[in-house]
Amino acid sequence: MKVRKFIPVILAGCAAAAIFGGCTTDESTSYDELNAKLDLEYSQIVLTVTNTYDENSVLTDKYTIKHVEGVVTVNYSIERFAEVSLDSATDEKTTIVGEAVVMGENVIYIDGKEAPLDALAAGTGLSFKQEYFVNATLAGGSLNADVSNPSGFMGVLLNGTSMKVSATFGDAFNDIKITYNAKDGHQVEYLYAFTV
Amino acid sequence: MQKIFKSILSFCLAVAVCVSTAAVLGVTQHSVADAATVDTYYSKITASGGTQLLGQLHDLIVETHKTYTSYDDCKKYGPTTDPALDGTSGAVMEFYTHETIKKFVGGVGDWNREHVWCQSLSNGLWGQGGGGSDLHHIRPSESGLNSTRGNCKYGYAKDTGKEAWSRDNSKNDSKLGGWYIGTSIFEPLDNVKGDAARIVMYVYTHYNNASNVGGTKESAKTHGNLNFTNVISASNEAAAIKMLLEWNKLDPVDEIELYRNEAVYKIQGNRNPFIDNSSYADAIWGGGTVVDPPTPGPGPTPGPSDTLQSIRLNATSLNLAINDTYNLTVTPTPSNASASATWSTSDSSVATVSNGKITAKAAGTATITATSTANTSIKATATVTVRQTSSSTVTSGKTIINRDSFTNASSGYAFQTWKAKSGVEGTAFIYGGKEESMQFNIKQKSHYLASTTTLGTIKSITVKAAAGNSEDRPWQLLTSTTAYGTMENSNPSDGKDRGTKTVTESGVTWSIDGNDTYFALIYALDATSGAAYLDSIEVEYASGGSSGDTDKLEELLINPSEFELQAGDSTKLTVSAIPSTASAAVTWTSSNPSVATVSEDGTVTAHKAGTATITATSTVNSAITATATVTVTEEAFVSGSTNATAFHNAVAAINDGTLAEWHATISAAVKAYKALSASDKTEVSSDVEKLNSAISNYNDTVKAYNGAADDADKPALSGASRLI
Repeated sequence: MKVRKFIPVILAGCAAAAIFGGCTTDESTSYDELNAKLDLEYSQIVLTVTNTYDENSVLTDKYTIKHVEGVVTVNYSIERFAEVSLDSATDEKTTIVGEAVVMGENVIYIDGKEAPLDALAAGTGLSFKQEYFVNATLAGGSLNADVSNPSGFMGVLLNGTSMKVSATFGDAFNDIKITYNAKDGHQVEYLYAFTV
Repeated sequence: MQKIFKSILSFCLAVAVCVSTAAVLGVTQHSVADAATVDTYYSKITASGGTQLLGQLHDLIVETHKTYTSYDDCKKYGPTTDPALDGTSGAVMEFYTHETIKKFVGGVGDWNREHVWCQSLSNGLWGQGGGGSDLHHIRPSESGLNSTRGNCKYGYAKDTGKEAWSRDNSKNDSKLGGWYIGTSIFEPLDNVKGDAARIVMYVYTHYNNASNVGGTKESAKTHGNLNFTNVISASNEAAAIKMLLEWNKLDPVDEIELYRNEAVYKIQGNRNPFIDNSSYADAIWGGGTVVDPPTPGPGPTPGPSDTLQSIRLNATSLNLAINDTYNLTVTPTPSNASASATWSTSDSSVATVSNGKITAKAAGTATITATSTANTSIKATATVTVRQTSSSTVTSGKTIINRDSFTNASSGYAFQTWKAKSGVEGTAFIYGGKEESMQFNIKQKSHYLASTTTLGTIKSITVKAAAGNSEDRPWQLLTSTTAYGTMENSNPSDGKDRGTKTVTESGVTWSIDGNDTYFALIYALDATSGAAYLDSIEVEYASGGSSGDTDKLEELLINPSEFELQAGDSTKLTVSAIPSTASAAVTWTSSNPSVATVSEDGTVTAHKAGTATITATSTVNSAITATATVTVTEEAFVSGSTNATAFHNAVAAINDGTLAEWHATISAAVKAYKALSASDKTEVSSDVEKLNSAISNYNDTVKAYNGAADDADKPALSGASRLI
């Protein structure tokens, strides 16, 4: 079992509501606390990425990330549309499945095709900062906001528009949902489900 | 011999399907063999393989070869034994490319008679007679390809040789006939290899000495020693046989071969057994056994059926004014079926019809019916609405002739026709035209303006000089009860002389008795230089003109107001004005240009299935419009092959609405494609192209979608990576 890091987060309910709801002048502290929750060691995170092109054309990628004693195991299932040829009619989609084991910053084991190695190694992670959001409501263990700086929030250069984020949390995150429109117009959804 | 009988019986059942299909299609001249004929023909074949079977077949096809055709007959029978797949009358299907060729011998692009077993490779057995004019042996070939084949043996040349193109070497894929190496080897396309092999085996079996093939009867014309290596590029006879058996297997018997085998049988009396049962080849030369022939299926019978399925009219709804006429025409489906029809009207007091020509008689509605003479149960109708025109009982009015009445004469003098908005027309000799001037140059002998049509008896004529650029000038007025016609080299001189008046900017009026209906206005100054510029000529009619403002448009009528077109077809719409003296000038628009477009002159061109509304908008009053509805259908597809029909329909059903629908409909078309025979694919080649295009577009979209999902910018695991 992993060693859990408990970060002391002391939030009086009323104060938290006041802080995240804009009733106090110290909102930055609250976002710092969200970042601290993100730094907790979770035993498992399930990330589901959904790309929606039209009502019947959806690609779903699922990554299950388990953290055990400093070793991260990623099981992934990635859907892609299949190309068609005159020789054969194929299913509409293909699914790539595999497993990667990461220790430190090194991928030490890969089993499966087209593992998203870049994604495993490159992401800098989410970052909660007040200046990244507008129309934010941070209260009662939840955050709902429009993201005005998608790249800053997501930690990568991103051309998406109309990004929104919603999250629920207690001492740790329960889930984070991010939606936006990709540069080609299709809709993208990221859903993180956290298990402490 | 049970096996043979079983196979024959099986084949008979199979061809019975084709026979019934052909009957449905109305193909009566030639179809594939009927069961009884085949059964009887092979009733003497008892051997199961080897030389014994070869000998029996030799004797059979020699003995039954009752009519030896001449080389000229091969020309005569070409369109019968090898009809064009697209149904072009009198044309043939080229052997190597399957393209349609109509002209016989004359140059590249025409067809000639191809000795599949080259004359020069026949050990002198045939020239243009005997085996050299056997219809089972001779196939139509494009002259250029025929020349390329030359004296080449059949073999493999694709990898090392050159491409052999039909016609003008345009290298259109549909004209690729095979590959060749110098003058030694020619390789046909895969879908022709089996045809060629079965013809070679037939010739070998028929024209060999009986003793060479285990038979007892000699060909009545020519016979001798033939080896496959004569015509097959192979190191020895065994290798040649191996290649023939490969080709026989690679390209199975298709409906085209079955069709022509029966057609030739009806002419010569004998059959090509290697087409009737391709397993004979393996049983004789490959150590195999006779097996049931493959079921040919209800594939395409060469040449389209001419059985009428339906007819349609060039209009389904018309709006006519009294005395208007409109010509209806019949289009049959299939297009080569009879278009002959009888015509009737539901109300001859409203509209009459004769040979498709409708004449509007009185206000009301009538239904015009065309009934096919080929099949009286097949009909098509058009609804005619006859309108009462509002200007039929007018008593007086005016028309104005001005610069707009003339087309541009550019520079120099021009003899012109003119037309006032009211509809009155005439002729003039004038310098310059529309909006530039209405200049009558006095250096010219003929400088005048006269009318060739009328609205009624003329009450007065008022002429005004153009402001600012014309001195007052004398003009003479003539009036007549007959039109002035065209006079390019002299002034009008007939009619009553109404006197000469000086025309000023404020205008001058001739009041006349109202008995004449035509006028001529002549420049009356005898001078060597100078010009007269007119502003307008206003003609007042005592009767016959429209009441009030003659130019005022009340309504536009468009015809036809409803009609159908097949994709790729065009028709021209017409617009008329109410009152008829008003302008009918319009601009045209289409509500759905992807379905149908409309040109400036009202010609509608159909592009794909669907409906579109064509709108004509008056140029003098944009609030007045008229609309017509066009329904576009895909070109009717007629085939004897259920597989080809299914594929055609599947391609037509491809729907790119959503990616899932797109994938599903493309997949259905791909599955239908896999069921096509070689001849099916030839028949539906345009649909194959459409499917390939759809697949290409689909794959491009999928790549884009996948690429977007794989976009390196996306924060795939960014949230988690802080944990890693």
